[in-house]
Amino acid sequence: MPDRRGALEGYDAGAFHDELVAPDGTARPPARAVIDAIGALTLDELRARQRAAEADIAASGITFSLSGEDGGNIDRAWPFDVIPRVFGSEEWQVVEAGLAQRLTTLNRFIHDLHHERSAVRDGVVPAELVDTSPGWLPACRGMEPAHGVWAHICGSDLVRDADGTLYVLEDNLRVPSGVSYMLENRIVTKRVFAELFERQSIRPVDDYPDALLATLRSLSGSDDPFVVVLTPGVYNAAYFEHSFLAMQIGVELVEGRDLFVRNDRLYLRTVSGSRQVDVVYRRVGDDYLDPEVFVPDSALGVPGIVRAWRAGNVAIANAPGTGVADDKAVYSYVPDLVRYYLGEEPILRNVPTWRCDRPDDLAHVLDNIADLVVKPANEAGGKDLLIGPHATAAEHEDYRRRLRASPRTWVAQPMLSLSVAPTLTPEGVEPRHLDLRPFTLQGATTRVTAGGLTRVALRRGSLIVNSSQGGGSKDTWIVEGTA
Amino acid sequence: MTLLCRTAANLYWAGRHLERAEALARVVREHTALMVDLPTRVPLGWDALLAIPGTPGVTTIGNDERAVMQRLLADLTNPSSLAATLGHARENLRTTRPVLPRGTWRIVNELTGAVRDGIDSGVRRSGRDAFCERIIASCQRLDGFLAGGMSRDETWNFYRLGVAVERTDMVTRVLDVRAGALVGGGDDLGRDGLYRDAQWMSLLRSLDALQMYRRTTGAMIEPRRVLRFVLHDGRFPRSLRFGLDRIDRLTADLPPAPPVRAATDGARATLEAATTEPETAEALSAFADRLQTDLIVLDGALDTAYFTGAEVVDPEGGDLVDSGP
Repeated sequence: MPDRRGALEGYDAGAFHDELVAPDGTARPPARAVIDAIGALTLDELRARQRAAEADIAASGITFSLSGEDGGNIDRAWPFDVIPRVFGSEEWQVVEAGLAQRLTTLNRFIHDLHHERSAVRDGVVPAELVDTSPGWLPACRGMEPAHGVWAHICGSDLVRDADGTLYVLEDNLRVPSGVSYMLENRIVTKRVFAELFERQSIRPVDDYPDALLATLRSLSGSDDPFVVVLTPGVYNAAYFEHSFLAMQIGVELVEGRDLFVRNDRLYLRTVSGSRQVDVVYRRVGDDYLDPEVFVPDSALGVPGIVRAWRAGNVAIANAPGTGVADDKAVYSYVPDLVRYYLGEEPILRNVPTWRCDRPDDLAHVLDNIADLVVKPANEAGGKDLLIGPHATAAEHEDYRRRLRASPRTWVAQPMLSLSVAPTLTPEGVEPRHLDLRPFTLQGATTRVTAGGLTRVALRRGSLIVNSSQGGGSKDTWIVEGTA
Repeated sequence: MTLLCRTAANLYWAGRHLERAEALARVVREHTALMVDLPTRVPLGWDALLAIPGTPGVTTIGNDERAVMQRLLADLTNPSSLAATLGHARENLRTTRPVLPRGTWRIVNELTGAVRDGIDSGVRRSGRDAFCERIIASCQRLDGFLAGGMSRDETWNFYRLGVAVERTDMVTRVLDVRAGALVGGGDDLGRDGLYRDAQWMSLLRSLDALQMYRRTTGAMIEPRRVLRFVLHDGRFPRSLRFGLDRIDRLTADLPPAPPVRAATDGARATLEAATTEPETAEALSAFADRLQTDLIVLDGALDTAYFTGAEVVDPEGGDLVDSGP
């Protein structure tokens, strides 16, 4: 008996994998309570919940920033869809193990690259791939960060294909953002849909701030380390999140101008004098972190901070040099690296990836560009993406020219048929494509968030989930005790 | 506890901007009420208000009520307008959210909404009283929320210091602008004029001081007593003495900074030297100017001692080092 009553009447996911509704129209077991509750509401009642959520978001000042046409920033209310996305806890345990395995591998790899380079020596990864990566910072060679961990906070992008398989699409290791919205989405859902939480056990997400603080504190040898969050400032698109996290973990939110380095130690300017800093959770990219080492005219960073880090007087999360593993060409080697470092089979799958620096791969991509998704190897945020099946012949030709000109900077992947979930739109409840960004913490121990940030493409048929390009978000539930 | 220099500066300025906006709303409300009472021959204009927050471009506006209110309340290109002042307060608070009680930002957003929704009716005379009331109430709600939820540490002291300095400064500005009318002679507003009491009462009302004046002095409206009350009453929170006493206590609790203490003492000495009944408008105006100058010196001393952040460290590293300004 299809569960298409009330607001769900007429709902049809078509050929796509639906996260909440099975192909026969019944609710998937973990989503049973959600589907029942949505079906018990009329469309108008559901819209009233959505309006309540939006009013709450506006009142709480949950925003994200867009670059305006005049170069300034525009704050927009955070886009949120009131219908949650649901995972069963058994599937989630597999995802958790897979993400932990992956981050452990990536940290082994980063450490190796800065020391013996055994993965290169043993032919697992080509030397030129590492040496030509924009994320490779020779200045970081030989460093021994605490626990051998370089990437302490990782935001992975997961997608599900038409056959239901989850794939890792990207490992964001530089300054991954979005976790504050994961936390806020839960708070909003609890306020406007409180009754949903009565009938089932949903894993809480609000232990993240404590886990983050514990991870950061574990990076210092001090018993009571002084921790700060470093932001590029109020004009950064993710400033809301920087401020939110600093508040949640109860540490100072600082900018580069608040800090200075003397005697290879990092200090904070306070009203009572200078105070030494032990751990920096930096949300400033490598390039801007230290004008002595990277971009010389950067006003966002702190001159000498890398010296202080190299001297072992301050821990930086994520460590400088981590970006070398956040590269879509390196990404394609991760399954091999799991086998190489851990002697295990990868738990989570990679999307098959053609690396255009290899002549055979390049030839394949040039011939099949109309069926592929072409991405820059080293950019974040969906920039410069070519979605072959949606592009014109002229665009295909333009990308062929760009690929031939600099093959190392491009990778290509098959077009995945991204899964969908019921989403409230102006046309009613309709299927919309989505992905998921869980966050993994690694210091003395490893922790994965219970769920993550689900991003949803609000335009019909669109695969672009970025909030800067018309994407929205959903609360994400791990429901206990259902298959 | 650690307080960033930049955060301290933002808290101080948040206090100043919020207090300035609230005081401005009160002055506008009372000025409007007074203008309604006064006959047109009385030489008190709308444009007098523009001098209170130091509005640039005063001479080009003239005495047109609507144009004055537009410039004073709504004009975002005027950095001293009510809307711009609250915009500054919002930016100050935006960067200090991590040190303020949860929920502060919700109230800041309410305040922003009150300006956005009401500013047009505030420019018109018919909606102005309600608009000013709403701004005053929203500012007080935020101030009350912070007073109820902030620990009494340095964070609080810097916010409170901003409020106290601005409150004192605003009293001197109101006195300065009104000096000519208050103690001048010869016309209806002057010493023996028909509307003398109306405008002294208006002065008290613009500080929400009328009832406390009556209770404290038990007196009729009498210029010498009103002035003594506004300058020297030690118990009324919007008197100059009360403001300077508070500044004195707050700066005493901050990390030691002799120039800040010296500036505080300087302002107190200026008040002590003031007679309770300046004989001329010039004398009252000169007193107000002197006190404003003292407060500018205090501002500069705070900036050097606390907001800039000298790079003084212990060569051995580790513990907190007093920058000892």
